[in-house]
Amino acid sequence: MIGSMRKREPQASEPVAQRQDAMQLIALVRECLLAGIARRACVVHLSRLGIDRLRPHHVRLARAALEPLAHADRARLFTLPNQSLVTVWRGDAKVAVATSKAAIMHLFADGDAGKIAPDMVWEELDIPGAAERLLAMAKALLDPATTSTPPAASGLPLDPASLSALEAQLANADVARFARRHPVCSRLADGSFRLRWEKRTLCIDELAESLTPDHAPEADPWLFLRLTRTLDRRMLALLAAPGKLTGARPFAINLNVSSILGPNFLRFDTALPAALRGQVTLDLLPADVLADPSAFLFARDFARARGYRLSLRSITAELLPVFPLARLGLDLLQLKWSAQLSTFDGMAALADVSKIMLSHADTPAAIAWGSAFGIELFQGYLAAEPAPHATLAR
Amino acid sequence: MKVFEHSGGTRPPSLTEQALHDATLRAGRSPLGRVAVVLHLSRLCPPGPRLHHLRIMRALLQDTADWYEGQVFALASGDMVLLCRATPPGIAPAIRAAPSFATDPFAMPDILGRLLRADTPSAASLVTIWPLESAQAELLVYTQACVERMRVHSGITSTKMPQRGLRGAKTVSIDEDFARQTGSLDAIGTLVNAAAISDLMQRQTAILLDPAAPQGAGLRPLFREITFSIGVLEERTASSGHATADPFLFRHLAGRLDQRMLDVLSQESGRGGPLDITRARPGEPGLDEAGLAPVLHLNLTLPGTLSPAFTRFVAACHRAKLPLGVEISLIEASANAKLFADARARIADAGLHLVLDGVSHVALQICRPWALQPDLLKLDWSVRLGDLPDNEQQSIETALAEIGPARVVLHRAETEAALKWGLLRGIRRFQGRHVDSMLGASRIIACPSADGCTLRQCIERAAATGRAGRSGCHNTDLLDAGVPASAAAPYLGGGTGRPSQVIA
Repeated sequence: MIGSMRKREPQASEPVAQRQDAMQLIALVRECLLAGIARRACVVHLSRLGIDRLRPHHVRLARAALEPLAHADRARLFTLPNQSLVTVWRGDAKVAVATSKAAIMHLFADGDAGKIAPDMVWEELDIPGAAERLLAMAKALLDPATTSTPPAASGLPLDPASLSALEAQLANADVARFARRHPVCSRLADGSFRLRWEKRTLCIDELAESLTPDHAPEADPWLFLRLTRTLDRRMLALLAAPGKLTGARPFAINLNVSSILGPNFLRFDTALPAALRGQVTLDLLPADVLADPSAFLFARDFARARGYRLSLRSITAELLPVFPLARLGLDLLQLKWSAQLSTFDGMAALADVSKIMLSHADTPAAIAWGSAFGIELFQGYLAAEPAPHATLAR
Repeated sequence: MKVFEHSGGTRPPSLTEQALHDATLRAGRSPLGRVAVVLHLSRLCPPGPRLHHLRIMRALLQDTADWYEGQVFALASGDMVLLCRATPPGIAPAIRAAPSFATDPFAMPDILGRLLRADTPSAASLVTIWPLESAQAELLVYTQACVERMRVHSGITSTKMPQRGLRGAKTVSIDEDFARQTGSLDAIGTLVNAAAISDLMQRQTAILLDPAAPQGAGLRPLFREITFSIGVLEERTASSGHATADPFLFRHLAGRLDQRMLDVLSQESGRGGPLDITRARPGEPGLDEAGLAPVLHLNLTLPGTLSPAFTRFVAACHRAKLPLGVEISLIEASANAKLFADARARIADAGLHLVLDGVSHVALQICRPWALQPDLLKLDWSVRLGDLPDNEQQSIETALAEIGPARVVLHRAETEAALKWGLLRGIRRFQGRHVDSMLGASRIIACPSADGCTLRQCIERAAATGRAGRSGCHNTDLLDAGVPASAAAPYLGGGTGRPSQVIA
């Protein structure tokens, strides 16, 4: 079944799901680029076939025609905002490619518009060789005015019992395959970006899809926050593994206050190479800080004494006046881009922009808005243009 | 997953104290260049020392112990003692600081005190340094006292001495803790859905206190907050402390309780019971100066505020001409600012009051909650407010000035000291156990049926929302009114002093 690819079917809102797909495709391609990982991809350009061949049943049938590729290693299917389909997989899948291509060509071979050329609808690409082309294709489909839509949760929310089961599964799962790195860059005067550090995360969507496919962990925000403590422990253990951080670049990780004060952090701190001391940023959430303000103060001062930088993430326009950086005693505020920010007029009075990073900067509008306010640090799909073939040490 | 919290080692408690004493005696034979650093974690404000204090401090002391040829003793009281050299052996002072986070023993009072300053009124008293060369006698007095304390406890009483140190810290796994907490949540969820919840709820009256007002007008009930009693819920499900142990799980529980509370309050409307909102009309218990203060407050989550059940309840309040205040916790607002803005707009559209709840004095120092534009802000009283360092006190004063004292309710006002602290800063709105006592005392004085009633009974009956909890009271109208108008009187600073005497 095509649904067995690591991709949920679009549910509540197709446009939203398709924009998410485009963003996820960009993320995947970028990860491959950064890590020097090879992948194959095929694009079914349904958008080139005209409106008469873009009806829902056409898209459905085209997805079904890609079924053989679903069994390829690490296969993922993306439906882009223009209805074109992109499949990315690893390794050799010649037979599946031939079968899928034949099915697609058969599907659209005859019609009122006449016979179509295979090249018009079917395109095969190599990653990283043709990564730039795929990136350009996906970026072009992101509507600058409306992107950065928060992911729509699909699936059941967690309850305490399912959370408990998920945490038990996490204890034995190999989370290394869900580890991701996202560049945080400064924007230079010429408009290009320079990598400052990497944000290291665990990909929650893929992890949830793998461990509890029927649930959307983020649908219940409080149980999800509870889950992040377990994820923190796994992430810290992953990073503290022998040799994991040898030669690593500066990085940031999401942590809860209680995680900074936990035994796993002490082990991570012991394992941190001297060269990275002072180069690691710990990203905290406002709700977590306020859950135990005394513990936050203790954790902040302890982490700072150990040479860590601290930042507050997921700050929106509403929260910007609530959390002044100086009052918090932190190094960085991560302002989350949204269209709402473009009408926010309190930036100049409120914030020291040299200590603000614009996150979720996935659109040109976000970059332009941030740059206009003098923000130099960006994190997002568009805010990273590493040199081709650049690889970062794992 | 079996992740055990750090334990203090396997040595029985009494042996550690004895080992420290013996090590002190041994070190005293060649005291030159040796030093003892005593970290008095037992002096931290309750609930300290917490597990993270113990864990991190142990790690910091161990860093120094490794570098300065020392040994760390984690005592049952929570205190920790580092016996080590005053300078690292064989290493020039210029080099010694570079490769390690080990702290010079003589710099520890400053560094450790700074880390713990949020948890103690006197960081300077947390660390004592005794160079063995000059102060071995003082150290021996301390270690001997530790040994004696352990000996007395193990000899005199069969119950175990309270363990505040790492050894006393829980050694159950994180999984076991989590299982207990989620079990508690499920049990409470089942209980509130199955039982008549009026016995599971409680109400508490907040007051407007004006010591300068003429006799009879100094104290007026301001609003009454109705909530689930977490204490009762935990007691009924035999899960004491588990529901509130994790703030995130507790917020999840709060979301589950909202729906049930709103449904029940809507159902009880017009039935004449203590949860009948139509009984609580303006004037009973009282209004603020403008006559517009809400008389009923509900503590809700953001999804609860935006739910259809809330809409139905607001409609019932409007029919009863009952002003309503909605209390939303600061942590809830900060978790989803967009949802909070929606809830705030909805509350304003319905003509209700928005109260920001759960603001601690520490939160007031690290953020600006008033920027969320609540009508009222509930500041949680803490004994620490009375002895903050000058700079922190100034930070609180500045925040209060920005909020405006008239918009602050001093919550959890459990003592007269809380009221005095608030009144000195222009705060006039109070809620808490001391206020309950004041109101109870007023009722007892005024009530013709109070013979045989104790103050505690009157307070508990006023807090009860179920008929069972109010049984024994022959003047429930007065109980519901909070305080008789004739009994209102100035209670502080030159007043009769009667409530304090009654409470005492």
